[in-house]
Amino acid sequence: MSRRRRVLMAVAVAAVLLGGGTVVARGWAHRHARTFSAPGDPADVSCARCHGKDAPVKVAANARPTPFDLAVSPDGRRAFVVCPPQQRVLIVDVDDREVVGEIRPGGTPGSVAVSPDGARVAVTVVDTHEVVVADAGGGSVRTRHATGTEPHGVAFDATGGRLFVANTGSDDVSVLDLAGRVPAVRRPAGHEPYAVARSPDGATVAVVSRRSDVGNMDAPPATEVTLLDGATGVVRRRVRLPSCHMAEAVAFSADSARVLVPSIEARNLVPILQVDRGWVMAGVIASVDVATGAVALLPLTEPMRGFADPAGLALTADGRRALVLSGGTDEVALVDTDALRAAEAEAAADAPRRLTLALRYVRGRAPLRSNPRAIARAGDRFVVTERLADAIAILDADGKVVARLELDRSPPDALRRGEQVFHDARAAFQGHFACRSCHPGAHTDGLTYDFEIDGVGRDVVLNRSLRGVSGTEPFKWVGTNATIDRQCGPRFAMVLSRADVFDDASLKSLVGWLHSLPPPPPRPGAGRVEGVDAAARERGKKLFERAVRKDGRPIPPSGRCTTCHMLPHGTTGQRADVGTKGPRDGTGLFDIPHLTGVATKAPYLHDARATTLEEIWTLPDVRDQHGVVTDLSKADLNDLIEFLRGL
Amino acid sequence: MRTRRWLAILVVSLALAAAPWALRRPTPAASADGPPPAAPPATAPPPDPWAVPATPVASATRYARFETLTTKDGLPSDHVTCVLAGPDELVVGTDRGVAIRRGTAWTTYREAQGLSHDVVTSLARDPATGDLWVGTVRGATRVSGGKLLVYHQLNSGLINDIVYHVVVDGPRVWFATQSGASVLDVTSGAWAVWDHRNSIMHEPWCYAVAVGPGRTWIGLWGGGVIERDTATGLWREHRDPDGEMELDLDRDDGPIHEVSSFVAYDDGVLWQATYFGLSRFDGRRWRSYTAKNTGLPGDFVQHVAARGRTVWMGTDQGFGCFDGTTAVSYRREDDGTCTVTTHVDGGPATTAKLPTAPGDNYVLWVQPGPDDVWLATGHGLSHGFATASPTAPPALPPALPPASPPAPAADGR
Repeated sequence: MSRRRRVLMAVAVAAVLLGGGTVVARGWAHRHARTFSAPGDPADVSCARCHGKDAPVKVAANARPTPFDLAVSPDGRRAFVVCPPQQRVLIVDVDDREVVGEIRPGGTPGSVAVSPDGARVAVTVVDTHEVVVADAGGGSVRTRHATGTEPHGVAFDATGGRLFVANTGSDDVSVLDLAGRVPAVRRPAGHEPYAVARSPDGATVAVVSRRSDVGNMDAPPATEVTLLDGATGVVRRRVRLPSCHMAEAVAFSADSARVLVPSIEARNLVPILQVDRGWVMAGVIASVDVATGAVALLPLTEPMRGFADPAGLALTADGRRALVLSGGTDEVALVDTDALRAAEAEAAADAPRRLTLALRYVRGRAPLRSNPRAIARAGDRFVVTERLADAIAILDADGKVVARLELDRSPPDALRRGEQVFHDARAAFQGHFACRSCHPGAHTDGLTYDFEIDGVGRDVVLNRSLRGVSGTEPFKWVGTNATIDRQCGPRFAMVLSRADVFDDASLKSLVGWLHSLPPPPPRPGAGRVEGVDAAARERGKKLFERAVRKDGRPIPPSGRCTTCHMLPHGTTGQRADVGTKGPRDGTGLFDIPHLTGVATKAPYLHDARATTLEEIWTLPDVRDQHGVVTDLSKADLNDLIEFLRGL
Repeated sequence: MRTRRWLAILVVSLALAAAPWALRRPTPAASADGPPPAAPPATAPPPDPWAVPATPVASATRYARFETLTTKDGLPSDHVTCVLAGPDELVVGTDRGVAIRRGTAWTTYREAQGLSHDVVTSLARDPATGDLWVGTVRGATRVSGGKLLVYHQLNSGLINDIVYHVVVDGPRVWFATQSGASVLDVTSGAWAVWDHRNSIMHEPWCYAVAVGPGRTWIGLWGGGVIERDTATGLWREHRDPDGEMELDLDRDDGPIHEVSSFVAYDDGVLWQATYFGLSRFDGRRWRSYTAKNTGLPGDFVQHVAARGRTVWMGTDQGFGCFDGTTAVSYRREDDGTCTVTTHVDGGPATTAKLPTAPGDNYVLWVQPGPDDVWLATGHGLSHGFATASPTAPPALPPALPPASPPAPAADGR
């Protein structure tokens, strides 16, 4: 064969191989994507949808709006709607139901507030740890201000010259003078402060927090409402909401005398089989007296009718009616505030469990679309974000939808449907809770629960995060569920929802969505005190990877961190006994938890006995069973923990 | 020939196909930490902590009368360890918790109320947040709007539970402990420690921290005073050159003793308290002072506080003040009167008598004001006034100005 022919033959063979390989790979990709989709889904699914990097600033090309929070201009004509996946805030003309502009804050927006004069908008940027101030008209960003970690809720003070920002990641509130006349301060708040509201008279600012900050896992949870002076930003009072957590919205009464906080009353210390009187978690509304700090807790859950994941609330102009969203049952409840006030008078400690009380002040419920999250008053109407329906609903004072703006009319794909299933409380008996109720943001509520399948009062275990869960099989603390399918399928129905299992399509969608969740990023700023010891994390890494003690003696594999906590996930997927078996535990063998984002997952160990990373090793009775550590100094331990905080 | 032509065509084709890819603008490598932070703005040169101030030198203040608060007045204990007097409140540390007086009402925090330990060693106020930091023998407590947050070595990065001194420096809180100086960055929640492994200190027993413009000093138990230049990160050690633990062989050759019980800085002067006298450093020269050569109330100096270029000191034999030239000491007598002894430039003493005296000669903490002084003593909290005649309850003195400039806006990153 001539040389020319040989070359041509080689080129042809290469072309055939390349073309054939492409066809084969494409076919595999489709089959792989179909595993996590349903018939009728688009044939092309972006790989990045499931396997995208966890870098928070990435914007997926096909990100849906997923409207989250919103604020309305004082004249009620413009709504500012936060769309985190698209990294923008939409400016919506409420009357025309039309998007007329947008604000690009340069990161993932969390929440939004409008200045009292309506001229400016403040947007918190969760992943860059800032708040930006933009023109309300054109949407151009004018100034940027550093905040604490992962800012969410924001509010202007009465003058519009100061911002109050709830820093969910650093457990504090930033008080920012926009003119820079005084330095910014950060005041400790509750655990994961989330929402901020200013009283109508401007005298008080209320900040509500999501997580319980009670360190003792054998005690009922409680969350904090922080009341600050609206003029100075000084903390005036800290109010405890007993047995409550997941407070994500707040509003003042019309007379500024009371703060209303929808919340979940958690009964995690009671075996989960007690279904009556609100079951394991009930929707409640807390009414806090601003002057005295007195708290009245009253149910929003009605007899045989749950009110899962209480979300936003807003009051009518006269303050006589409150519209409260349920993110889990996809409804808005109409609450007569005068009747609520009257019911407070006889509210006792057990009021949240007297579900019939709700019938006195809940005048009705109106349906909404998937996962309503935020509501704001626009004149005599209300604007609501229907988050997983990619829509904005306009309601009248009776909660009836009078108009709707569809932000994305394309049918939801499998991952969106999975997320909807995750947030839908109708899967649970009487709609009391959804998956999201225990796993807000697909993370953990940090509480322990007693599932009676292990025996009542036995194996009371910590709720675990779902972020980055893909590839960390098996599941359950005792590691008996090999797949997410099993965890969320029959087991969920039998142990949790007490209802029918998910249908196949729903389960498939749910599992696919869970597999797509990235791990939480490490907390920024952790690990370094400016000017001090930048090498702490490097030293900690060496301790994590060490195979010999400080005196040179070898550490057996069973005593090395990397044996069980193999990176990048930080788990080998096996079980281990680290000497933490407690008197209520049936076994001491536990599934090795993954370490990605471990700094965000307090408390620790299977029964939440360690409230900080330090306590994993400093609590009594841990003697080199959880890795060889007894030869380490406290400074070494600090270095090791700094390394872990960076994962 | 034809083969070569075909090969050339093939190569050119491949090159043309690859050109757009090869010439693409490289995208910056994504940082796992997100976008790089903006370059910090240009800053002024670091201040000189030893610059001679423009303000006039304060002379040793003379006190004419004393009043003492005890358990009868609402204190949880007569053994007062420290005090922090502000314009609106009085905070008192004792061996039975910390008491806060606002107006006439006292609020006491003890272990039962969530304080880390009843034995309080030091107090500090964060001017930015209003938070009160309480150092104790078992960790530290942050009191914020009535909420108590406890930090100890088992639940946080605090290096050791025995906290001798707490100092707030902008967004950083310093804890002088038995195993090093821990630093907490309240904006990020990150902890770090200075000890013998990463600083010039040869042993980590830290007794006190002082912060000045561009400098931080740590008084060590057995290591003199170490000084860190915050701009360069360089350490400097100040040790007693003669190395004698019982004598000061050569006066003014350096710190009077290795064992520092406290350090304080203001207005260009660093003061070192020791159990063998007092030392003064102006950036160039050390001077030593004892009861014998200067007229200090005693050589067992437990605490120093500086205001301008005057130092107030608490000893086991009363308290005194000294401006480098004039030393005035106050000593309680058995009959409850006070002997005031004045030495000018080490010369012969003159004495006077006052009808009232501090509660005890064992003075653990001193907080001077413009015309008054608070004393934590072994028998109550004493308040000294410059005026002889009692007036309506005197206003609390204004807070001391911060030793370092206010920190820039906190950055959580």
